[in-house]
Order: sequence, then C-alpha cells, then structure tokens
Amino acid sequence: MDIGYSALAVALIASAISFVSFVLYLRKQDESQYGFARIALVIQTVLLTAAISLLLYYFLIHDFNVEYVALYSERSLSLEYTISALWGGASGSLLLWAWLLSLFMTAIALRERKDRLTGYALGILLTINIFFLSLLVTINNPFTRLTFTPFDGNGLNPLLVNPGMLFHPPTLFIGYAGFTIPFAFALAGLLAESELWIFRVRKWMIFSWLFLGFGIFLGGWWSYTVLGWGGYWAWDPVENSSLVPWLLATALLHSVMLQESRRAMKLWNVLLSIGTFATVILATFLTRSGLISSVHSFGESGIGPIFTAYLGIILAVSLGILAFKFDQVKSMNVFQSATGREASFLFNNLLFVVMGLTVVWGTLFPMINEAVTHSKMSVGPGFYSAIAPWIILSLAALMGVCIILRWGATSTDDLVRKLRFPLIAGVATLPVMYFLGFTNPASLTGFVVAVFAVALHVEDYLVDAKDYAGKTKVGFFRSMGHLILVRRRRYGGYIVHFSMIIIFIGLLGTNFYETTHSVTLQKDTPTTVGEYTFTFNGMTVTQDTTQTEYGVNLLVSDGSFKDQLTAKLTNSSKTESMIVHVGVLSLPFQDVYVIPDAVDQSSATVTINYNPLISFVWYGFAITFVGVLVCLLPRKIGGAKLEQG
Amino acid sequence: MNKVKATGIIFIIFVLPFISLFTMSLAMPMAHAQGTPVLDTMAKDFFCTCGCNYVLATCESQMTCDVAKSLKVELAGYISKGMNRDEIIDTMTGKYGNTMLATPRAEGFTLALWWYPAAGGIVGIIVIALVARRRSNVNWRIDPDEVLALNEEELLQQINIDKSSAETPVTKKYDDILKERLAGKKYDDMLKDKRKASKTKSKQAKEEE
Repeated sequence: MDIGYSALAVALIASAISFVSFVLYLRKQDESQYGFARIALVIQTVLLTAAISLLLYYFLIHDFNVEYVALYSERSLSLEYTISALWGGASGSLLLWAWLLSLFMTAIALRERKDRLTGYALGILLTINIFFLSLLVTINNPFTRLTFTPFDGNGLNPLLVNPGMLFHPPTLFIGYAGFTIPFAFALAGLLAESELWIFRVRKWMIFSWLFLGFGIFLGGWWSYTVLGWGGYWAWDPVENSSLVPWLLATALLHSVMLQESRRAMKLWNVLLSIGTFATVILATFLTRSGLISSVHSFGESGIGPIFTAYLGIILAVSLGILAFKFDQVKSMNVFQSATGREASFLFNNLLFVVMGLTVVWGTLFPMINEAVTHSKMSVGPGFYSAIAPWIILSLAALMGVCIILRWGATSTDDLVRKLRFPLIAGVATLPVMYFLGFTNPASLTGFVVAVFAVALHVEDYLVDAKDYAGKTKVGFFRSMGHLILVRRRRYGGYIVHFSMIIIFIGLLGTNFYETTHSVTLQKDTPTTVGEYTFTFNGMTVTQDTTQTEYGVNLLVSDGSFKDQLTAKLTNSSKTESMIVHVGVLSLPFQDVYVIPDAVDQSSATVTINYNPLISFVWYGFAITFVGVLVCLLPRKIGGAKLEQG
Repeated sequence: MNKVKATGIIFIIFVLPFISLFTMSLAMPMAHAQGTPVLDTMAKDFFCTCGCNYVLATCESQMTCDVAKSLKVELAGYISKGMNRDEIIDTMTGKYGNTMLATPRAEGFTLALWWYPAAGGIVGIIVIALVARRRSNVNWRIDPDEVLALNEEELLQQINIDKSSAETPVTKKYDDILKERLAGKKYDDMLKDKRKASKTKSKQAKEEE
C-alpha cells in the first residue's frame, strides 16, 4: 500500500472523528469535544497536505509506477506542466478539492468564533469532505500502483499544455470549494437557530466569488489566446456549469444585504446558498459524467452517477432541514415602495437567477429532450446568444439605477436631480460612438446604457466625497480616498460594478464589431486586409522528439506603426493532430488576431480577426479584483486612515 | 403622487433600452452578422460532425478540421444555389441529423427550451409584485455599510433587541461613529461605550418591569 494512500485513509478517519466530536459538542455542549474536533480537523488537513505533496513529488520524479502519474505526465513535459498534471485527471482534481476544502475548514476553525454556529458549519463541511475522501480511498485512488513500471508516461492532452492549465483549474476549484461555506453556514444557521450566519459567511463568500470568477476569466483568456478559435466563451456545457454557481452567488451577495439590514429574504438566502452549492456539484457531474457533449471531454471519468446521487442527497437533506426549521426563515415585510433600493435588489436577483436557470436549462435540455422525445438534439451558442444580451443589458441598466435609489423610497425630485447629468452623458455617447464607427443600433443602445451607469456611479461618488469633506474637513481629494476606506463595502461594490460595465463594453465590441477575413499571403508581398497590411516573412520550423512546430512570421503595419506577429501550427507526433497557436497583436482598442490555416515556404493561408474592445474584457476583470480587495480590506486599515485624517 | 412619478421614471429608464433594442433589432439584422457574409453566420448554426463539439466556424479555425472545411464548402454550395436559411437547415439536418443544429428551432417540445427564460422571468416578476405588495414601515436595523463597523457581539445584541421589540431601533449612524473617531475616541472604547449603554438600557427596562 502506498504511503500516500495511507495518508488519505487516515485523513478520512480523522475527518470522521472530527465530525463525531462536533456532533457530541453540539449535543452535550461539551467544550472539550470542540477542541478535540478541531485537533482532528487539523490532523486531517496535515495528512491531506502530505498526500497532495507526495503525489506532486511522484510527478516530479516521474514515478510512472503510479498509474495516475503515468496517465497524465511524461518525461519531456516541462516542470510547470508536470506540476499542473496533478489536476489533469479526476483523481487529482478530487484530491485538490478535498485539500482545499480542508484548508478552508481549518481556517474557519481557527478564525471563527467557537460556538454552535461554527460547530454546525464545520460538521456539515466535514460530511462533504468525508464524501470526497471516500471517493479517493475507493474508486478514485490517485496512488494506485501498476504491476509494472513503464519507461515513459502517457502525457497530458496537448490542449492542456499551456499556461491556462497552470491557473484555470486551481482557481476554479478554490471557488468551488469555497462555495461549500455559504451552504454549510446557511444550514448551520437553521440548525443553530442563529441569524449570525449571514454576517459570518460574508468574507468567505466574497473570496470564493472572486476565485470562481477569476477561474472563469482565466478559462476565457485561455480559450482566446491559446485554443485559437477567435472567442473567449463558447457556451459549452462545462463552461456553462461553472458560470451558474457564480451567477447564483452574485445574486446571494446582493440579497444577503437585505437580511443583514432588514431581516428580509431569509428563505431566499438559504435557497440561494443551497442552489449555489448544488450547482457546484452539478458542474462536477457535467464535467466528469460524459453524458453531455463538451469540448472539455478530457475531464471525463466514471464518477458521474455517484455525483448525481450525491446531488440528490444534498438537495433532499438540505431542503428537509429547511422544511423542519421553516419558522427560522420567516422574513419581515420590509418593502416600502417600488422606488426603494430594496426593489432593485429583487430585480437584480431575478435577473441573475433567471440567467442561471436558463443556462442550466439550456445545458440539460438535450438530456431532457432525449428522455421525452427519444430523439437527440444539441443546444449551441445561438440559444444563449439570443437570451443573454437582454439580461446583460438589463443588469447594466439596473447597476446604474440601483445606486441612486434610497433605502425605503425615493422621491421624484431626488430621482430627477440625480438622473439629469448621467442621462445627458449617456445620450451624448450616441453621436460620439457613431462617429467613431460604432454604428450598429443595438450596440449603441448598449454603449448609452454603459455610460449612463458609469456616470451614475461617478456622480454618487463625487457627491458623497463632497459631503464627507464637509463633515471631516480633510479636503475633497483626500476624502475621495478616505471614503473608499471608510465605506469599503459600498465602494468595493461600486468598483466591481464599474468593472462589470467595462466588461460589458468589451462584450459589445467583440460581439458586434468582430470582423473575419480569410486570406492567402505570398512571401514578401504586402497584402492589405481591412485596416492593416500584412507581409509574410517566411516559415520557421522547429522540431523535437514529440512535435514539429511551423511558425508563420508576419509583419503587420498600417503606415504609422510596424510590428511582428508569429502564429504557429504544431504537429504532435503522439496524437497525430495539428494544434493551432494563434498570433495576437494587442493594440489599445483592438486585437489583431491571426489563426494559421496552412503554411509552406512560399505562402501562408490565415484567418485574420479584428476584435475591437476585447482588451476591455481583460481590464474589467483586473478591476474586479481591485474592487473585491477593497471589500475584503480589514477594518483596521480604514480606522487607522481615519484617525490620521 | 411623488412615488407614482418616481416609479414611472424608473420604469422608463428600465424599459427604454428594451424598446429601442427590440425595435432596432427587428429593423436590422442582428449585429454579429454585420459586415460578414452569410456563410460565416451559418457556420455558427451547425456543430461540426468531427466530434469536437464546436460549431463549424470554431472547429475549422481551432482544429484546422477537414470535416468542418468540407461542411463549409457544402454550405457555400447551398447558399450559391439560392437556398434560404430554413431550406439549408432542413437539408443539413436531414443529411447529418438534428444533433448538428446548434440553434434549435422553436417547434414541438423544443418550444419548452425557448419559452423557459420568458416563463421564468414572468413568474419572477409576479413573485416580486406579490412580495413588494406586502408593504411595511419597519425601520432599518442597520445600514449594510455600517455592518462593517460592528463586531459580532454588537450584531447579536442588535438581533436580540430586534426580536424583543416591535419597533426596530435604528443603530447609530456611521457618520456618528465617524465623528467620535475623529474626536479621538478609539474604536474599542466606542464599542465598550455602546455595550455599557445597552446594558444600562436593559437594566432600566428590568427595573421598570
């Protein structure tokens, strides 16, 4: 028996002991049991850390006697991809997930208050990790040894050998593992009959939301820069399944505010917490089951049915607890007016949930259709592209309007006063964008809404800063900074809103103004394609034992500038397939995106895409990161700054 | 009356973009088709049959797929014959099966696919309308921004006060906390003061009883 397997088995036992101790603590109110449970929890984490480190070590020393190492790595794989091969298959991914969850649990056990609420939450989280550990020690053992030792391994799927693989899966898994926390605390709140769950869970929720969002973003960036089909989102079932928990969690992040401040939406918040976690499990099921056709088919394994059963159990148990403790989720009637900010939260939740459920529906519909009509069908990007723009446009408009609404009710005078300038700014966008060449009416509507929403945020910020400066006498510009620290939750949120509008502008540019040209370029002959002139400078060939790489070297110019761009075609001898590596020239407002189709010494056939405003999508995500950091800033930092003021 | 007017303004703000977008999208072909030939648009309507699960346009560019290439040539042939979109879809699905159609047509059971988002939206709006009808004049427990300034004990205290009181008291506004901080009071001292004040209050209440 491998020592790694032993670590996993003992970790499972430690988890079970920890769980039982938490149950005893909760039943007998015995403080010593809580301490014992915490020690067992830490032991579990140490053992899982040892197990994952050992598996990594096996990858690094090329121990191909370990089946998992032999399946997902090879000697010629570079160091970074050898490390990333750890999560290249189902067993490694499960181990990563279990390890991350154990880290989260340890952090909660050490950081959060030692009480019944945390006790219940940790108990629930332990049941989840016991499920993962049970899979790891039974059907998904990553330490299974072969009866022989192959000289070399199978290697990673060539599509996974790229920088996206290094960060995309781990960030997604941090998000997935993190979303077990709101679920556990929501149920713990019901069982412990404590409203505090909503406050205690916030930082964990924001952290997980950021990482899942970042994981989705990295997937999009990987798709765009590496996979080379010209886009960043294909509405593939597996992509969709990672988007759904993020959408539901975004709804939850907003609706918790109404429970914090007004004791409203209690039932809804519990349902959203359950829904977010359930869709995480659904995502794992879809990635691994192979039941639904996906471009991520490299992730398939036989654990799909087990995850289906687990999903059923989770829904049955959590909804059972909810029914049993229904008196705990009776909310106050708090809505004073349709013009109150509370109403905008309801619409926000409606939009996110409808979007999430639509994506789930579209993803699962081929299965449902087959069950009902006994005929096969597919649901592709066309379905989502017909629905999503409406919801995204509504959200962009709502993002703007919600911040000028007062809690309770808003008067007409207030509305008119606050809407005046943003509306003018929005309408003024129309001719500007038109003369810049953005002539499509639907996209112009989007640009107007985007500028309107940004202007509302800026106006609110400036008014608030002026008010703050008047009260504190620290000066207008200093108060602009102080305000962000003092009201970091609000302004962190505003920064995230702003980032979403920036992404929205990027979506408008790429979806409405992307142009595609297929062209054959002769060597050393400048050819004008759209706005730029391309000169094919010849082909370079690089060969090693596993692949042959054909480089298409192009000179791109437009009179005012010249730049080199290289796109590649790689022929893998192992898979006997041709992999495309696009060439991207990123300009401030547009990407020149070259996909090589065929190349020889005298000519190159390429597809040239012009992707306007694509960089806004990437910048937007970077700004999201800043906004979330502001939200998560420790309280001390704001206090210290204020005292200096 | 003011509230009615304000509701009207919000309604216009929300509905205006939709009306304009809807009208314009009816009047003009949808944007991604702009400036691109029909073949490129139709190449997004069909999945490649090579097993990659990408639409033809994507598969061809990513995989340099020969199947996608030949299917695109076939599509171009139909377009040059003057066939319309529906005829092309009928021909292609008749030949290769329904699974290659990436954008299912709204007919038969597939209507459920297309109507689901609208049905979800309508049900949601009805629920919101019902929830919003249950008006109330409950005061704020606390502003969400202010939650950050409190620790768990204070929150718990607040929740307990809420439970025992019909009228929810509004906690100290953030501005007041700010003023006290600027006046040189340490945050922890402020918390102590608050706790003391609430203890005195509850003592007084008991004595009165």
